[in-house]
Amino acid sequence: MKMINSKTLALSTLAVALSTALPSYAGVVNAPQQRIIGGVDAGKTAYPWMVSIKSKTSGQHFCGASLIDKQWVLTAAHCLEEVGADDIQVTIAEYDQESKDSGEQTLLVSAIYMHQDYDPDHDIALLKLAEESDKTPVALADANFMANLNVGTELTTIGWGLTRDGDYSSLATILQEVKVPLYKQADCKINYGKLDVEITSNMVCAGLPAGGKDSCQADSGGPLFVQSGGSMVQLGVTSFGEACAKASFPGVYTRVAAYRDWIIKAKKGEVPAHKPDDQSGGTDSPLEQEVLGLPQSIDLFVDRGQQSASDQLTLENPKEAKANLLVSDMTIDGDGFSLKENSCANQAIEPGKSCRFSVSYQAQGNKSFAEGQLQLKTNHQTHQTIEGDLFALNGNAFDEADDVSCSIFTELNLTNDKEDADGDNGCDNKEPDDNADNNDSNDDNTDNNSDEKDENKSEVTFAGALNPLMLLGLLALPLVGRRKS
Amino acid sequence: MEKFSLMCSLVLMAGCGATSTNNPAEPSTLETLYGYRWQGNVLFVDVVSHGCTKPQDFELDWPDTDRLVIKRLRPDRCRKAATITTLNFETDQRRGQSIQVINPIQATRIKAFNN
Repeated sequence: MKMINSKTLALSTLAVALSTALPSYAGVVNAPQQRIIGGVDAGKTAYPWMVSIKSKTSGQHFCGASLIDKQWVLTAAHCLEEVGADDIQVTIAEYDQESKDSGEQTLLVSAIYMHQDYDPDHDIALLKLAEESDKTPVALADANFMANLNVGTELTTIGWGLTRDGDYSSLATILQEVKVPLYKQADCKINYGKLDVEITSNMVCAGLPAGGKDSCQADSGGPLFVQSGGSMVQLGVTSFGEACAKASFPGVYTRVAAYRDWIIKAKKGEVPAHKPDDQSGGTDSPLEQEVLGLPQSIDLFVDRGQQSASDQLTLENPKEAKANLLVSDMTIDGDGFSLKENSCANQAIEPGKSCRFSVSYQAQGNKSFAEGQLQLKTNHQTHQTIEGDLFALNGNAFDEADDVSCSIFTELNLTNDKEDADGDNGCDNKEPDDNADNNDSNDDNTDNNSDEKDENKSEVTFAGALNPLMLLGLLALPLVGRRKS
Repeated sequence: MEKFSLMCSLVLMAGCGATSTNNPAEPSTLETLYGYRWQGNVLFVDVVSHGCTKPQDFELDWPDTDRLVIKRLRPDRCRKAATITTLNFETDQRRGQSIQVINPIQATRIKAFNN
């Protein structure tokens, strides 16, 4: 087996997804008592240098960061591995993710500088802002400062991440803060060593030995800092941890003091700027692979209440081509699929020109899923036959609460015999009531925090791996579903 | 070509695959997939990531010549908000035949942006 690369789907893709999911999700509105993990709402103007990194497309927060200079933001490298500067924006002095705060400032990013040796040590990156911020930056710790900190020193970490470990519906809306003591480095190293995770001298650990307070998912990139007198000094960047707030496994932060020189070099432009595909190597995702402008797969969705769906495609003859492109034949296979508005067949396309056609799918009764194939014959030297896979999904074949994948699973005759004892591909385990507001019966599943539960009677708390709302929340995570505190 | 879009998620309610987990921060041998596709001998798999999910964290296991299980060997302990990442695996074991991917598949699908 050879591994090639990875690429993250665009947040905008998920954003579209969430527009569908939102009505169901919106039912979960009650706030938990615990924040970040074990924290509280931060003061509204307490951290003007705190930064939220967001998708420029969806506007959704996905990592924290800190303003360390008028035009520079510090964060974690793993937050940026698969995005480019053009894909993101930052909001400085962000407080409430769901409203525009009077003091906040949203700026574009002109360059990303990821540590050149990140993997997974050196989890640090800088964003160069497109313009200077008017906010006051936070100070950074150096080696001398760190040497004067004792184990147990009270530190603070802040962010908009999960407020309950593993509960994707528990993202914070309001900036959260939690006090976490500096953890003994040797103990951190030993404990994580049991999981085969190396804690290096470039990391610093913070948390209670008994657990209960921690940063969590969506807090990455945010600061770990100490409040000393009237000033604050950042000494860590939120990086990773074994679950969240788990006993013996403190949060692990990138040790800022180890990167003072790197930060200076990056600000001088002496380290290479990051581009989203720099580290992936290998081939592109199929989602990006095109042949003469045509995708290798074409996905159609028949909306509920509709009977057909179509997509217009463009066949391009590159401007550097030396001859006209001739399409001698176009065929489409698969029940329900057809070609329409075809300006390509038997046409000569000059270099730099294109033609268009549409692929259409007509729903076939109650059939939920269909596959087909598109084939073009051309005179192109290397693309004499162009083939594209066609996929169609009929939204009419599913009830609101149906799991489409299960149906696909069944239609494609895929089995899950090892994992699904009832032998029906695992499609029968729907929760009795998908309406979050009325689903108190699920409370007993996993929520061990009885206090929290009592004060959130209408809150759905699923547990276990197959919790539908959890799955929903997972997809929704970067996009919606933040709890209003 | 026009900005042909990939598949978007139509997030639906209800789980599928009773023993799976969607949380990559938790170790799981049977990863929930959010889609997969073959392109020749390359398998493209959509999974959840917290920023540190790599192809190296997974193993392709073939219980039979025509059945495939994708196992996560290492959890993703990073703390970025969850995203769906496409991982690519090349295998010479497909040999053109139809392969059943046994992992649970969570539904999401499908809408083109330009429709």
